[in-house]
Amino acid sequence: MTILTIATTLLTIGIFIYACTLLTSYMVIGIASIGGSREYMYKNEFTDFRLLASSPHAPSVSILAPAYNEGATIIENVRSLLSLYYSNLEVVVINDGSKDDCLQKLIDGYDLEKIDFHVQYKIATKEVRGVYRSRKAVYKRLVVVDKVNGGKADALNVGINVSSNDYIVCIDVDCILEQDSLLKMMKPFLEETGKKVIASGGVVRIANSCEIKDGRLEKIRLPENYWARMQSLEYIRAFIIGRMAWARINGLLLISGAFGAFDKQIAIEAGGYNHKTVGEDMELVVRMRRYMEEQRRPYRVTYIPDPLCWTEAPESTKILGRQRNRWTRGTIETLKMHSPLFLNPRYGVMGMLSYPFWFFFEMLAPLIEFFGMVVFTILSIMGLINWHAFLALLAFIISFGYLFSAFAAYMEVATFNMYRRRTDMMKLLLTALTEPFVFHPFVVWAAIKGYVDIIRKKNSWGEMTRQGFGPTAQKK
Amino acid sequence: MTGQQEIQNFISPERLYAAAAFFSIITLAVVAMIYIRLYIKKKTHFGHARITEQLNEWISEALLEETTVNITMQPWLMQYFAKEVHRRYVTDSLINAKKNLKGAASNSIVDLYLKLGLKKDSLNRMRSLVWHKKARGIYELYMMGQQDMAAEIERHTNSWFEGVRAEAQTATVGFKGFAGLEFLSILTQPLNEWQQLKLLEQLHKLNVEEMPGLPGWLASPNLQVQIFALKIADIYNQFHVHDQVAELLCADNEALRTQAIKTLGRIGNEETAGIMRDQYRQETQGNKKLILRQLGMVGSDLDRNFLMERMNEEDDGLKLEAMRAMAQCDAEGWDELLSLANDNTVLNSISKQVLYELEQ
Repeated sequence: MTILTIATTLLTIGIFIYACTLLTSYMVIGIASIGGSREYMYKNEFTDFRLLASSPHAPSVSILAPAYNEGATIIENVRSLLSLYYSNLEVVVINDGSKDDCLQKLIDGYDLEKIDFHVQYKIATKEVRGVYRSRKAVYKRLVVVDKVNGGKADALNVGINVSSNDYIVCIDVDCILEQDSLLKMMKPFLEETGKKVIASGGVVRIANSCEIKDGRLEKIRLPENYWARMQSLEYIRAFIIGRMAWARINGLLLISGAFGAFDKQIAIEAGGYNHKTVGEDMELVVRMRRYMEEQRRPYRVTYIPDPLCWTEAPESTKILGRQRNRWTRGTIETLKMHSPLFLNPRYGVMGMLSYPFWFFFEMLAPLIEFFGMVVFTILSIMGLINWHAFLALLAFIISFGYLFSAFAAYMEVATFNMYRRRTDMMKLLLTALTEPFVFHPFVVWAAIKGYVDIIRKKNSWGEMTRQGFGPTAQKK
Repeated sequence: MTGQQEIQNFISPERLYAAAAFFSIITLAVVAMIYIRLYIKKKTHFGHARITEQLNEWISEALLEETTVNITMQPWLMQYFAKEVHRRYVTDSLINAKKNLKGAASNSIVDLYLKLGLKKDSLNRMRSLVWHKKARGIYELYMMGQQDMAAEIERHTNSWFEGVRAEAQTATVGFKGFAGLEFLSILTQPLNEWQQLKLLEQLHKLNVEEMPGLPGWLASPNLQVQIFALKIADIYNQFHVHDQVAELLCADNEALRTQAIKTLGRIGNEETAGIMRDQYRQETQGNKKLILRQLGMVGSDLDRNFLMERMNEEDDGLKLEAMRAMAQCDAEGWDELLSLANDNTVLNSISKQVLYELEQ
């Protein structure tokens, strides 16, 4: 047996095992999500969430909304946050050294005055220049912090330091939250018995093409733009199936930075957000979990499948590519920082299942796929491809992908059914048909660029241009 | 045969094509299910709309005339009523209507519920072995004020199923008021905070009554019953259990001590501040802050030295709480503290914040 034969045999066996494990994981995840969703629906079928809206015994919550150059829409965004149903609420807007008129607009719009406030740097951050509160009683929930620019993670850490409540809900300031989102988000924290709930994630949906008025979602529509529509399907798959299943076995590693709730004390004890990574949202969850495991304290990270937060998805390949590049870098950085977790039984489900899954099927997948594409190109040029076998394998993989997408669409209809028109569902399913040929290769390419940037030690966020929800909004 | 050959045989193109065909067939089936589901949802939606029209007529009639509504079921409605999903919808609609009504109007809704034969459905659900159906049945019977079922419902207050016992507890307190809390004496299952909050909100609407079981609940082997009892003692100012609450400061569980500190702040007497000061050093950082906060309520000039000592703490959060407490309970001590703060940048900054808070 030659070395080449041994190498190709090992490679074949390796890829075969990899593919089998991946497909099996998806099937298990799909099945687990059915149980998780059903349990959630039954449990909350006739829950009166309004109870929390008015109860003085409801846990206190601080919303942390970092803002950087959001002057164009900041007034409307903050108004939307202030109108959320929740009695024990504080809205902390952190102006992260914006270069535009964001702070001045807030001062004028909400009649703010600089107050005497002793900032406790429980987590080390860039300097806070001032804390503002409104002179008007109607805006008493609002706290605005002005600080030296330090990035999103640093801004969120300032928010943690300044906030006065027991729980923090970290959001992107330009997201649209459902009016009852906090009520639903806080319930899991109150349902803990033996295990402390340290964090809870919510579903993020795509708001492109939806009708939005005064910071509220008026009408839900499937995005008209192909890339945004494709992301709608991707988000349904990730949130309704993936995260639901991981949360069910208490293995969730990622809570979206756009909308996540945390126990503030645990977040502080774990050290707050890490500003050395662009994947600060995932890194915080992993670190909080690691902290709890090392302290031998029983805990849970929960997840709410209700569509509570709506965000604008990139509509151009340029911006989408930057986003996926950043996500890849964030994943690599986080997994690298927490490498001792890998297959370490001391860290339970996180060490034995979640981390290895992320490592092999989220972090390595683009590399393996790219490698496969390169090898395929070389072999086809050399005329070494067995086309009969190749087409069979392609048909197998693509048909499995379609099945998974169709299942996700079915779960969407069976649970929250946001896209009620039959034509919307048809569009969504037809879009899914193009995924293996258009969207997926693009995402793999963007991820490979992320790898390249990691090697080149590039750690910027990348400019994220947004259209905005209003007719005139155009911000960066 | 090499491993590579074995794999190649295992995943032969024929097998892959067969698997792809299998996946495609399932995909088509799933797509068909999507459309069937959408169709059913649409049909149900229109059915509900028609039912709502009729239901609104009956409700208006019942409310306006305050008499027994004469129900005549037209054939189309009878068709709808043959299906459980539609009857459940009617029950939900009546519950929602009843939530917004009181007195005779509310009774009219219950009358409608009984006349439509929906109680039988609720009973069947309550007697189902499936937990979520059972929970729903209890919920419906309680919301429709079916007092005759109280005893049967009460039997589920310690159910192994969280959803079932939560609804049973809510219903029992709803039916019997404060006396309904007796289930706490036998509760061995967890009573989570959400359920505690629900019960407190229910009790909030009632006139306060004697709670002879309170000392027993405070000594319950069920940790969450103890915490709930502490909350009740706090909200309803149960001064007579002060000593028992003070004893709970020595409990091993932090959450229990936290609630005990909060409760002592509300039902405190002249000894409370001293008890809390003694406890301070053994406490976690969070509970230390809480003790200082409570001292603002139950403290006096006797706590001045203790609060002054807190200015040497490393944690600025403790200094802040101590200053707030001093400002609240000891005017002379507060002046002393302000002069001390003049020579210390950190204390000065904290005192300015407290002064701002006092102005608000």
